Amino acid sequence: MQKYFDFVSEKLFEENNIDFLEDLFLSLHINTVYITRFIKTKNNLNKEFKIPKSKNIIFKKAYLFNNISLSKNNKVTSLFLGQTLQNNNSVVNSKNKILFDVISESLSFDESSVKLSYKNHIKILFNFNNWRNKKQSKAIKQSLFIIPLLKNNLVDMLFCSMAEKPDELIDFNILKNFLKNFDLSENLISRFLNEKILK
Amino acid sequence: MVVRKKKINVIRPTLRHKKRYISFTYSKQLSIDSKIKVYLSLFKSLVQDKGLVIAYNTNITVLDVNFSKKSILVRINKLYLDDFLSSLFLNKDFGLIKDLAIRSTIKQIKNKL
Repeated sequence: MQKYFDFVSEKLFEENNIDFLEDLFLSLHINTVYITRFIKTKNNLNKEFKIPKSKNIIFKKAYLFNNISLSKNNKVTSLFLGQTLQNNNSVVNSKNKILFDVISESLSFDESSVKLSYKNHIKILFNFNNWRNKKQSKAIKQSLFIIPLLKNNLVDMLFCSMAEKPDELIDFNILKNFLKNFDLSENLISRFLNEKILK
Repeated sequence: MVVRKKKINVIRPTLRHKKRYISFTYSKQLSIDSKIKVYLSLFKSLVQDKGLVIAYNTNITVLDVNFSKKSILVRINKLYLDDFLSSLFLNKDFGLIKDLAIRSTIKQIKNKL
């Protein structure tokens, strides 16, 4: 059975017991968990960042940067926040980055951004909880436009929960079937949900 | 007069109705308190995701609901399995859905439970 990876917020571990979370991830078939810290300023980078250890689940660190200038050549997996036209454009014009959450108030990711993403080897990370919460109507409408564009231009896509509460997690077998709504084949979906895509 | 036993014709496996049994546990404390309301919640999310025609074709039957263990056992048409699973993504009534099991016979799924 395929095992999956997920990016999850640091807050999930502050409010929940590690044993409970470990059992939860195992029941959802999640093998690797990237614990993500949101970095607004340089001070956030200097704070201690401990991750738990487990026999069954691989926990790794990740940083979510508000601004490209805050990151250096880290060995830690780095994500760069989109959500606005300015942020999306600045990340897409740099090389070898992971752009997190291109959904915004109005469409700010179009054909030119997609072509630049392919040229600069950018990976696009979607937060699938946007499709389930108050942002649902805008998120699904924009995703129905953006995801087929990315697929046709051979840009890699990733999907994560960025969960702050256990209820925001999901069984990836359910997510796999929901992603078929975006005109993605089973093989492509399995490839996007496999951890090898991050390397 | 000799009485002969007549062989009862068993339905061939190829002609059998194709069903799938799905069980899962949920996290939320439900305001729903009966099988009918569980069915309505699952049906509503399937209509929202895929539409009325596919929802009826899926033929959801709620077989067993255990409110203390927070587990549900459902039977659906095999052809619409992917559509049903996709609709669980948008269902908010049950909270976190986990321990998802899909089997072709009820014996297998009861062994799993």
